[in-house]
Amino acid sequence: MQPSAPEAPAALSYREVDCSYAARAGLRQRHSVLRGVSFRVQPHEFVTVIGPTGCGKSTLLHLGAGLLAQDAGEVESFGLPVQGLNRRAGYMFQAESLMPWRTALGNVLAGLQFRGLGRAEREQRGHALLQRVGLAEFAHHHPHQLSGGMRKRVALAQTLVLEPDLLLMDEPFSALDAQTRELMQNQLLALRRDQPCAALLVTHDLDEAVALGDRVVVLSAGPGSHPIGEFAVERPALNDVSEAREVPALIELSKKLRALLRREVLEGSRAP
Amino acid sequence: MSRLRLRLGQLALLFWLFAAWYLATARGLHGFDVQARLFFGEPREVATRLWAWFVRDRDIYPHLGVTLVETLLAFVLGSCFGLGAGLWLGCSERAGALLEPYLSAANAMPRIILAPIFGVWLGLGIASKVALGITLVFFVVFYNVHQGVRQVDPVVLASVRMLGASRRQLLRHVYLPSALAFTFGSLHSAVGLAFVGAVVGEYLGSAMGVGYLIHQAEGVFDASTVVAGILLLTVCALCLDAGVARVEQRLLHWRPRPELREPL
Repeated sequence: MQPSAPEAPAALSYREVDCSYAARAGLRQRHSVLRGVSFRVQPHEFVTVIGPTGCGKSTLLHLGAGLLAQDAGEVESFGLPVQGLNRRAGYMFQAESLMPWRTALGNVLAGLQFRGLGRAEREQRGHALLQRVGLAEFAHHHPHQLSGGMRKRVALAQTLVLEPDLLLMDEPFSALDAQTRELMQNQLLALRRDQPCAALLVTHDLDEAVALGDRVVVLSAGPGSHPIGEFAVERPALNDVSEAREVPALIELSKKLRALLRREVLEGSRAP
Repeated sequence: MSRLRLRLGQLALLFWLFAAWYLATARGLHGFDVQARLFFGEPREVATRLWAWFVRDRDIYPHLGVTLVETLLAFVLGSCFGLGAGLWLGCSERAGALLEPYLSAANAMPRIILAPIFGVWLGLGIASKVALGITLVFFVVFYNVHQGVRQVDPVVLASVRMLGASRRQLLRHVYLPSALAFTFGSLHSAVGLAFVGAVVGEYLGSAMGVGYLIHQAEGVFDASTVVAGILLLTVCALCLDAGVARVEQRLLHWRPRPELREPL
């Protein structure tokens, strides 16, 4: 946890970060969301963050993306402080984030279009990625014609087409049914094998955190959340997240995390 | 209900309306037929008038042309101004806050009363009618676009920003399409208001146009001509409205179709 002169700058590092928001518009009173948060995401590392609801998991990602500014402390990405939007990061939102007026393909290549890439090249790259997430024949469908899982796959392709060095994910699969979720998690693992990048995924799903992460960070209950534990996940590279349920070391870790979380949730519900 | 049955039902309703009108104004059917004819005109005379306008004398075309040109100009210009102003004020917090009370005041004002002033400024030709129509159309479109810009999905907005869109690209690829979805609802009422602007303008002072004809006929208690003019304007407004609906369908094809939604 202690930053000790690393050789390569972290993909994302939080140092003593405080963040709060106005309790009500115009009022001085502020709710503290994060207090004294410190941890790092190394390049190519997959870090998952779990915590009880309302513990500021999304705020953490917003800070990393530069969509929100912290009150105190430092947020750095690849050695540079995050000021304004983090150009090296891709963000996958929890809610629907596709542009409903664009087709699946149009959504996927939007980022390339904004960067001024030529039509032929961006269509080719967009198609390639759509194919990669298994939606080639849905390229010209609009979001409302796709299922929730398909929309998430389009959103994933939309984020990855820009080849971000850091992938931020806010409970991206929480709205999906269990089977679709597993499918998407496998797809995410496969995509990341082809296109290695640092990843920070927040979730309230413990199994997801253990199955995907190289490291799991546990946040305390809010207000003023902070990490209360970091666990390295010792496991072989998985091709299928369902295998995680059979690895004894991971089962052990899940138990430990579950106990820790339960205590936090209880404490959170007791707080005024 | 099937489409055909719906249409038949609508036609039957129209038929009964005309039948009631006919019976109410028929000669000798009841004691007030003279007054009824004075108030509502007579279906047969209205038909004769329309026939004369379009076929026998062919003298309606220049009038109708003037009214339609005024309406279309007012509609197109008013909508464009409304769209531009709505986008601008919706996106620029400071300009929006600064101009808000003035826009509210201008919107609350009964703008029809500007017609004589526009007549003085711009003369009795089409310019004064177009100006009146624009003031009517502008606010409807403006407020809807403004609303549309404000209600842009914040998640979509953040997501597109993360994809690297510049301010200009945000405007073009997020605000504009999102606002358009809101705007088209208002364009239907804007068509009607553009007609109001044109006809009221003509009514208050002009030498051409359907509003002018209606005014002339009113002066001599020729109710049938008045009704014929109103019917003509209604049909024109319906046609324009259908045109807007077609454009809407083309531009907003990305929206789920209403018939695909579940009934309540």
